[in-house]
Amino acid sequence: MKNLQKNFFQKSSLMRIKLFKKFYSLKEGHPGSVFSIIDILIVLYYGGFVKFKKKGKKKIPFDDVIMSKGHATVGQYPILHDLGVISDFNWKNWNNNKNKSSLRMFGNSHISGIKASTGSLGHGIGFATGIGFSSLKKKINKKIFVIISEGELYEGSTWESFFLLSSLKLPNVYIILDINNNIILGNPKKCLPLGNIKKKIESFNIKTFACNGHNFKEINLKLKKMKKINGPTCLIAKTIKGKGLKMMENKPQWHYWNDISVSEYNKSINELKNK
Amino acid sequence: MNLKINNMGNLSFQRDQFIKVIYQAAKKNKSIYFISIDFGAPALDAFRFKLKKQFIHLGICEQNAIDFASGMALEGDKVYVYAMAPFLSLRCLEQHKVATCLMNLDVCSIVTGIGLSYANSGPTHYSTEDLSCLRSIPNSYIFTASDPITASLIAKETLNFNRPKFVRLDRKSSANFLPLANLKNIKDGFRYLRKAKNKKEICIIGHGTIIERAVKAINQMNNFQASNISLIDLIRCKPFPLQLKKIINSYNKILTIDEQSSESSLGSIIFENSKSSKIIKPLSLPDKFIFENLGRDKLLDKNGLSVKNIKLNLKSLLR
Repeated sequence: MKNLQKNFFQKSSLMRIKLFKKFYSLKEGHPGSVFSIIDILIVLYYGGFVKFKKKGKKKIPFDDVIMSKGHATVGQYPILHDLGVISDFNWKNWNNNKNKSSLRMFGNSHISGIKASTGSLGHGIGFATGIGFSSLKKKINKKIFVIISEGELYEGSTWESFFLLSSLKLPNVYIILDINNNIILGNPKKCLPLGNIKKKIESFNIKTFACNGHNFKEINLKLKKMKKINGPTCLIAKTIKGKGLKMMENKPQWHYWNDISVSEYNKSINELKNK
Repeated sequence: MNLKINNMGNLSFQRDQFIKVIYQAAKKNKSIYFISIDFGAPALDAFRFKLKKQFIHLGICEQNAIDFASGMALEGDKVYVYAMAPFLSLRCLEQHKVATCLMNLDVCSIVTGIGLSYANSGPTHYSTEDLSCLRSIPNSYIFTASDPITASLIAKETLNFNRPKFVRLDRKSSANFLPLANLKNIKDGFRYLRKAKNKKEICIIGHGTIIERAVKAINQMNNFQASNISLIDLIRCKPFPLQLKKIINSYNKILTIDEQSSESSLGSIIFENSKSSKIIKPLSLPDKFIFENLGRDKLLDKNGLSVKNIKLNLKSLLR
C-alpha cells in the first residue's frame, strides 16, 4: 500500500507538470477544473480500477471513464499517454495551430481512450447508464466511471439520468462528483445554492460516499467500498479548484488559463516539483 | 390520367407499419432496442409484451432518452427512440447533436406527428420547425414518410445501416399512393408519383402526407395543364439524393410543398440543391404560431396549403 501511495504521489506531481507545460504552450485550457480532478484520475487509472485490454497492437481501456465535465478531459490525456493508450505523436504534436494531433481541449470519441464526446454539461450519466445497461445485458463485466461537476447539478438532464440509473439499479455505474466549490462566476453557495447534495442523490437510492478528493488513501478506500455495493453508487469528492498551485487554488478566474510571465511559469514548475 | 391516392379499405398508420418491421427484426436480433418516451401505438403492444427485454419505457425525458440510447449504441446496440415529433426533435436537439450525431451512433429517432398532425392541440404540439433544426446537424439521415408503405420501407432501410437517423412520420391514418413505393425508391431517396408527359415544365417536390393535396390539385387541372406537371416524393431529404439534384435541374420551374413554417421549409433544401436561375415557388405554412381551432384540413386550407392555392400557384407557374 505504501508503494502504491508513493506511486500515486509521483504520478500526481508528474501529470500536473506535464499538463501545466501544455497549458502554458497552448495558452488556453481549464487548469482549475483539471487540477481538481487529477488525483482521482490517478487512483482510477493507476490503482487498478480501470482495466485495459488489447485491440490489435493497441492497448485500450476495458472499463470506461466518462468525463462528463468535458473541460477536464484534458486531465486524462497525459495519463493515457503514460499508459500507452494515447500515442507519443498525438501528445507531442498537440498544438492548437497545427492540425496534427487528435487531441482537443474538450474530449471526443475520436481520441484513443476517450469513450464519449463531452463538453456540453449534463450528458455523462445518461451515457454511462446506457453503456452500463447494454454491457450488463451482454454479460460484459465492465465498470463505467462517470465524473461530473457540481455545476452539472444545475442541468435538468443530470436529474433525469439519476432517476433512470436508480430505477435500473445498475451496479456497474460509479458516479464521481467533483465538488470544488467553484463554478465560473464563483462559489455556487453564493450564486444559486445547491442545498444538501448528498441527501438529494441518496433520495434516488444511490448509495453515496464522501472523500477528500486529494487524499489518495481515502479515494482508494471509498472506490473499493463502492465496488462492493450491488447498485449504483456515487462518490462525492471534495476538491480544491486548481489544486497544486497556490496562484490557482480556489481562484474562479483560473477556470480558464491566464497569461503568465516566464518567471511565474518557472516558479510554478518548481512549486509542482516540490509537492 | 388521374393520380391515384386512395386505395380504399386499406387505411393504416405510418407508425404501426414502421414499428411492425422493427418488431420482426428485433425478434431475430437481440441488439435491437425500442425506447418509448411514454408514447404508444397499437403495433407497439406486441413489442411491449412479447419483447419485454428489448422494450424500455423511459418516462417523459427526451434529453436523457437520447443520451441513454447513445450510451447503448456506444456498446454496439441498435436503438430506436419513439416520441411525439415536437418533443423528440426540439426538446433534445443538443443531445442529437452532441450524443448521436457527433459520435455517429446507431440511434434512430422516430419523430411522430410532424406538421399540424396534432391539430387543435396548438403550437406546443405542432412540429413545424423540426426539419430545419434536425437538418442542421451533421452526420444525420432524415427520412419523411408520405404513406404507410413508405414508412415500412424506411423502417427496413434503417435496419441496414448504423448512422444517426431521423424518421419523420405523420399521425393520421392514410392510404398508399399508387404506384406503391418500393425499396429502390427508399435507397434512391425519392420517387416519382407522376412524370410529365410533355416537356419538363413544372416539378412539384413534396414530402409527407401533404402530397395528397398536390395530387388533388393536379387531378383538378385540365389534361393539357396536368401533362406538364411532374410530382416527386422526397423520401430522404438528408443526405440530399444526388440523382435528384440532376433531375430538378432539368425542370424549368419547381413548386415545393411541405408542412413546415416558411422559414424552415423544404423550399430551402431545393433552393440549395438547384441552379440559381431556377424558378422555385415554395409552399409551406406561414412563419407564425397557429392558434385557431379548426381541425387540420381547415388549418392547412387557411394557411396557404389549400388545394385551391396549390392549383393557383401551378397555373401561375404554367403561364
